[in-house]
Amino acid sequence: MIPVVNGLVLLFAALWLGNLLQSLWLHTIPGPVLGMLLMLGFLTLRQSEPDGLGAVAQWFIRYLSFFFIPAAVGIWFLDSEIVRQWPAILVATVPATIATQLLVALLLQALLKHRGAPE
Amino acid sequence: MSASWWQSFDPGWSILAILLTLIIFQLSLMLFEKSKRNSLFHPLITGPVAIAAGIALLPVTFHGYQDRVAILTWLLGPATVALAIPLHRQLPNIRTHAAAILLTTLLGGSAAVAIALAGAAIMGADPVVMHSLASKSITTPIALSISELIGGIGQLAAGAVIITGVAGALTAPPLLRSIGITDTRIIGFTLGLTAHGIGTARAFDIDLQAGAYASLGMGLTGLLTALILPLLFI
Repeated sequence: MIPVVNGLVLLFAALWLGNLLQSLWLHTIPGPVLGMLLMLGFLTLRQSEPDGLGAVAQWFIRYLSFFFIPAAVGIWFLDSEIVRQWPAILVATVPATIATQLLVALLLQALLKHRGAPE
Repeated sequence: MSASWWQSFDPGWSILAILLTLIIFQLSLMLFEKSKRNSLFHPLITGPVAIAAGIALLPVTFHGYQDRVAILTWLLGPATVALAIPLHRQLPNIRTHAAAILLTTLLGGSAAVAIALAGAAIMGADPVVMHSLASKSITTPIALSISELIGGIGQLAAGAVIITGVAGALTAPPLLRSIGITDTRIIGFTLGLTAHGIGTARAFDIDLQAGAYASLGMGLTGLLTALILPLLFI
């Protein structure tokens, strides 16, 4: 089989199953995320990566920014009701991110030291 | 009266809209490389600015544009599934410190949401704005589907993710250096956890190890946030 087609079949099968799982049972988890979990489970059980899957995945991930552009354009066309809340939006994105970064870095440093396992 | 088939089906305009989006993406990528990959000139900043300007100048609406390029947004679905592959590749690297990584993801991912929501609440944000900001630290396709599930505004969620990614990618390296952290595993993981794909791209510019840890941080945080966050809001 052509490896790229093989990779695409697996990717879309996982996506379809993930969406199915969401609509039938796990309503609170986005279908694509369930697809990602199914794929992760499949790879862990199988241990080796099927032919072509890596190349297909890399292609999708490399152009992630491109697929996101239409959604990103939306920030320039928000309702004035939302735009009026820009100070809250700014606080939640910039200073909150800096605070989280300090916390994450210090926590991971402490945990890695505690474990005492330099790579 | 419902639209006739020749009204609803306009492949010419869809192709033109996708073509123009592609050309703008190409130019934004060139500008990003020219700026020596400065996160302020990330294609997700310059591309949307150019397209928004185009929509404002031409006789089209944002929703008209969005409908015609809907297939691009739809491709975020398979792209989300694809994130499992780099995540699976990174997992063996952390076997010796899996507990530290998972605990940091759980606490750090929760803190990213909690601190953002606390900040927004103090500034008097509406609930719908808060719901849109909750997913700001995670990778774009997952953030978009979560915000839809928990009743946020997709347009705002997308913007918050990008502002967070750019700000986080710019602040993390100097911030962590200023408190004496030089371990590229920690710098990378922090970039991936707090600034998703934009932070991960920045981490790969530091070194391969930082990039690998950033991919790990981005993948695990996206996954855990997607599993937990909707439960808190629905």
